[in-house]
Amino acid sequence: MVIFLRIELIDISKSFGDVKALDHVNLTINSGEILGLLGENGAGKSTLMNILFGLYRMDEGEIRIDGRPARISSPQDAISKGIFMVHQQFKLIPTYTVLDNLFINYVKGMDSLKPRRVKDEVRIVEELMKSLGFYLPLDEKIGNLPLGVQQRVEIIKAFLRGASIIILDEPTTNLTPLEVEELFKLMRDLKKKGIGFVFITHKLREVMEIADRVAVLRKGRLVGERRIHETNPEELVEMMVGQRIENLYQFELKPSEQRMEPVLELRDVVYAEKGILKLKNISIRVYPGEIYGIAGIAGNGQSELLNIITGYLKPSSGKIVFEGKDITNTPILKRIELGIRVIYEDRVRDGALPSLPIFDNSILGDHVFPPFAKGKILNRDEISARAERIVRIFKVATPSISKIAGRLSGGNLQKLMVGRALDKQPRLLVAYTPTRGLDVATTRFVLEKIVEVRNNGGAVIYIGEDLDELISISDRIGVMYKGELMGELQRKEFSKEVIGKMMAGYRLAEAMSK
Amino acid sequence: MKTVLNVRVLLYYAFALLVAFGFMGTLLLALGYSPINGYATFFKTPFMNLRAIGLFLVKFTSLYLMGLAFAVPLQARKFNVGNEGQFLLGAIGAAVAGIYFGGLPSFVALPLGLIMACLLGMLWAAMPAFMLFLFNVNEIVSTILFNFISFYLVDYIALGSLRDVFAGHPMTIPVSNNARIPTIVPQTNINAGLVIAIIVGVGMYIVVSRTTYGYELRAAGSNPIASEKHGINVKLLAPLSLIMGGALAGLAGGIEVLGYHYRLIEGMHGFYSPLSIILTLMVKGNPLLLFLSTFFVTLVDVGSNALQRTMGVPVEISLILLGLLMLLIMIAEYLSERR
Ligand SMILES: Nc1ncnc2c1ncn2[C@@H]1O[C@H](COP(=O)(O)OP(=O)(O)OP(=O)(O)O)[C@@H](O)[C@H]1O
Ligand SMILES: [Mg+2]
Repeated sequence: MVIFLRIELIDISKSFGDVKALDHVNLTINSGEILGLLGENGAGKSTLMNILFGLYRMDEGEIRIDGRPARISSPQDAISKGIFMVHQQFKLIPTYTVLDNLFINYVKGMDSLKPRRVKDEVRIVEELMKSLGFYLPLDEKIGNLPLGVQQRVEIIKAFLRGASIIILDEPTTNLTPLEVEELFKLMRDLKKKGIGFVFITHKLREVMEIADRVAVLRKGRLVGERRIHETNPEELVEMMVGQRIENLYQFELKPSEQRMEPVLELRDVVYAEKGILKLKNISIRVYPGEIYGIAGIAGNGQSELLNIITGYLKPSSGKIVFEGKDITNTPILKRIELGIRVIYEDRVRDGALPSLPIFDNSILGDHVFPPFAKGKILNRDEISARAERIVRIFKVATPSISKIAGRLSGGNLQKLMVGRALDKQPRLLVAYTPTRGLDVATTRFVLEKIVEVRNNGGAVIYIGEDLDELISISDRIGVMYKGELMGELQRKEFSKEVIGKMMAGYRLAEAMSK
Repeated sequence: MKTVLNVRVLLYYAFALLVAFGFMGTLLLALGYSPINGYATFFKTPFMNLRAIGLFLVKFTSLYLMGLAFAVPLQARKFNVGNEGQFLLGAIGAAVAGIYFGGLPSFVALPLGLIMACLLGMLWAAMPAFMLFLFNVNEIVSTILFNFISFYLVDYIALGSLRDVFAGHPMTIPVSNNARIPTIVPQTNINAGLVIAIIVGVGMYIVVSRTTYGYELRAAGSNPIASEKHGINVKLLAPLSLIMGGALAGLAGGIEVLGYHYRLIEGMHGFYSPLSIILTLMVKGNPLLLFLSTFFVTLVDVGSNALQRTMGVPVEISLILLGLLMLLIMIAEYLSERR
């Protein structure tokens, strides 16, 4: 049985140096309820939850559990009280099986020396899975499983260890739409069993769908709380940003000039990995002053396509032509010098140097080129100037550019990655969901910036998972499915329905006719 | 690479020092020695006369360069625990060159000796580096294995045709006068090796923090995947940093032979390697702060030797002290990182 908890966060304040991350926040969290937590990047959502989970210490304030003051000074404390947190970086052991991961640390103290009773463990999990109506491959190694499944293992693990409240910090950022649905189903089922969730996200659609109640933080203050059926997305945006934002998805696309020579041309590109075909005869042309959108469900070859354009992967066959020159065998740095800029999909894995300061992060990839390097010598003034520029233009919340990048909030790190790619007008920009983890206003700003690249004559390949975004800024959209291009649509032909069908495996003609 | 030191962090470190030395006094008391005499001996002996200062600086020079040999690969998150073997190979190179080419004029013989030291040190690091490059063999394992081989190589040379037959302990005959590093303060062991170490140290600081090579090392150490995706050749860089470490450790060995012992002596590496690892980790491999931590560790090492000589306190007290200090520093770091 799940123990019912009522957690009151009372007058919580927290500063990091000069940054006031939380300012007298009051919030109640209940078991059996899903609380959506909204706010702009750097509003303090993660900080508040890290305090509740015992990772950070508050400067002021109090936590009460069921009316009694509670001391939570470490994650162990939190867990012993039934409060769990699932971070974006999972804390599972990739080389262990699902079953092992579920039961590691399950027992405490001397009991951990007793031999495990695998049979009992299997029985417990199987019963649970049956009652929830879904299935985990217990003998599979965690590392071989998709992110969505790993995440559900984390949640089940929390449940098995006696969770009453589970905190999910931006759990949907790296999930496919289908995985999001599965996550929501699990959350609803566990809610019925009495579990409460705190659900942090930037996607209003998701909050409206799953939350019972929603709380909004702005600049460290709680600006309001609503029952979900008493509010609407427009009001929530206004609470988050402090003003109305009109026309979230309307952009001014300057009419393109006559088609000239393409900036980038992929000719029959094939890529195979360990004998599996990841890209099948992809041919794409992208012209100056054009945004070429690529739609598709994550894992259908978009990553490989991106890495082939940047030079990180070599195609098995086919040709890559950039401004008339064959660059199929050109190394990464040379391509950067030619003006190919990239925003990778996973900022933590592919983009950031977490232990180095912001200014070092701001030149990764440009670090051998003038003005940042003269010969082999770094020019610190130019590097600082760029970092300052990015921080100013993209409003990266940080006290200084010598702060370690790993300390930035998720969204602010993403802004740094985007700023790095856009600081110099790209000839070709390849961006994979660059708005990942960004709040509503910043998403709009980044999309504007990308449109600006286009309007200034740059070519853009925009790989996206959000159709609203794709449709709003693309000149053309190509849809990928299982490593293949299912067809291309012109802007005037865009239709969510057709694109959706193509994402599910129909070719353009079939999708149009049905 | 900016070192961010705020008052609170400094306080933690000061506290760590205080606790460590407080513990030393208590330990002395418990073992039946006078702590006051102990502290006096500990802090005064290393500086009581020019000769003592000379010995202090010789040790400082070797430890600093050894620390640097560990610090440079550390930027790329490679652990060059093989600096011991590389040091010995450097010593062998310098001794052999200093004996065979000692007939050459000084301005040839001396640089030749030092270059030989660097080259052999590099060679010794190059083999594990190649194994890392080709087969991804963990450098910690391979460099340690090469340390063992180096001990026998030293024996082989020190007991072979270059052996000094009049000495009781295995060592070679002295290198010729022409190959020796000149002393800079007469009547002491203070030699130009110290100057070389300082120049090399400042040079390494510039390389690490101000050049594209250093940038790539630090980037690779921070996130190898992101680095590779942005055009940095991580696969090549990590082995290269090990080889560079090898040159630095070799130089340490060469300077100790040509500037102090004037010959190769079995066992001359002492505790240099473990001490150098401790002092490097204390400052996270920053080549400038390394001067400070080396000074401190040298003090502890020389001070405890003095304690043993004059008061009969077992010299292991230095290891206890350093171990305790390292632990306290780690706690201090945890506390200052904690939010
Ligand atoms: N460990 C830290 N050290 C210094 N500053 C921090 C630290 N953690 C957070 N901050 C700062 O506190 C503020 C709130 O950050 P927090 O991570 O809570 O934001 P968030 O609401 O989770 O934002 P996002 O949507 O971008 O994840 C930010 O200005 C951030 O830079
Ligand atoms: Mg956050």
